[in-house]
Amino acid sequence: MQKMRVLLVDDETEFVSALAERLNLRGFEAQTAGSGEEALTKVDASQPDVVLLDVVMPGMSGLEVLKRIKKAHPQVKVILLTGRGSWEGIQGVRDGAYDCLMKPIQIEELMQVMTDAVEGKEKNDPLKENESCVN
Amino acid sequence: MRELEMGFLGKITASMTHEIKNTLAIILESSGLLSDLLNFSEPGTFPHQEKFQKVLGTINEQVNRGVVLATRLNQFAHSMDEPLAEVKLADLQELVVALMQRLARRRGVVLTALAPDREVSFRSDPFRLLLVLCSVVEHLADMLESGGKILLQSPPAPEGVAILLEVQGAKKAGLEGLTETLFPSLRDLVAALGTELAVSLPPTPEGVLLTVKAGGS
Repeated sequence: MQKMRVLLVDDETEFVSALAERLNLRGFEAQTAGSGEEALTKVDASQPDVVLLDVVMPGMSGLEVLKRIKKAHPQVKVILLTGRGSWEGIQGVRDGAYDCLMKPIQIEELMQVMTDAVEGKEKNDPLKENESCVN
Repeated sequence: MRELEMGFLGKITASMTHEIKNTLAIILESSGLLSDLLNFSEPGTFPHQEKFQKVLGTINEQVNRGVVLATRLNQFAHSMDEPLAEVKLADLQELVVALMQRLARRRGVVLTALAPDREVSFRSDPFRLLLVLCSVVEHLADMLESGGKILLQSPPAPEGVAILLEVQGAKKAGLEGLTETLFPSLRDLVAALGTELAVSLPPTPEGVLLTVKAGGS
């Protein structure tokens, strides 16, 4: 069975490198990017199945990265990650993100959401389910 | 100027809580990775596996506790965002309990909230509303003997929204005294919010009743 390829994007590099190792131990093929610009380069090069994308980053914002990914590679599933309560998570889902998760995340929940995204499972009520991103 | 100061305080506090949550996320993933490495290693290859897992479990629990605290502080900070905003009654009661829990516990008082049986929201100043409710909780906790209880609930109100802070247990003094001690200090604030404070005495549940006259939705 082919491994799910995941790109983890966050300027908190210690966070994504630990998370990538944990996912790799569980049979994923995870790589990391520390900025929006680096993420776009890696998405163009390898077109991962899923991009886990931090919303707030220095330089190019997560929402801008999301728009560019969805325009160039609409098949790539994007899951937003935010450490702050804001409407950006909801906006991201409206702009094509599959889901929005709050930091810190539970790895089991993350794996489930990524699997659902890749399998094309529809969310029942995306806005309601993303209320957690609007504290 | 006051609004400017509050806005600044809220903005900085909210920003710092986001950073705290980022830090906690790194600790959580790092301890999670250590735990994974132990779990995925061959049995018997690491002599202190059980002790390490126990310590990592404690780190995990405390990080999650920190996340809850940071989230509450973040919500408190955002209460200063706007002088007039939509306030959800259930969220307000929960936040008051979260913010005042430690203070009540130190006085040996149990502070809880009973969720409203319907969704109620109204327009108000969230920060000042918190200030009034937390002040009342603090005074009530001071008046109760250790072992007492304060229960936040929302009884039906003919006009507007009501929040009752019911007290249970032995008291050091009668609640009537609040009209001369606490209420005058909150008078301007309560009036500006379009609310009323009153002492509730038997046969109705004993406590303090805050009525938001503007009306709920």
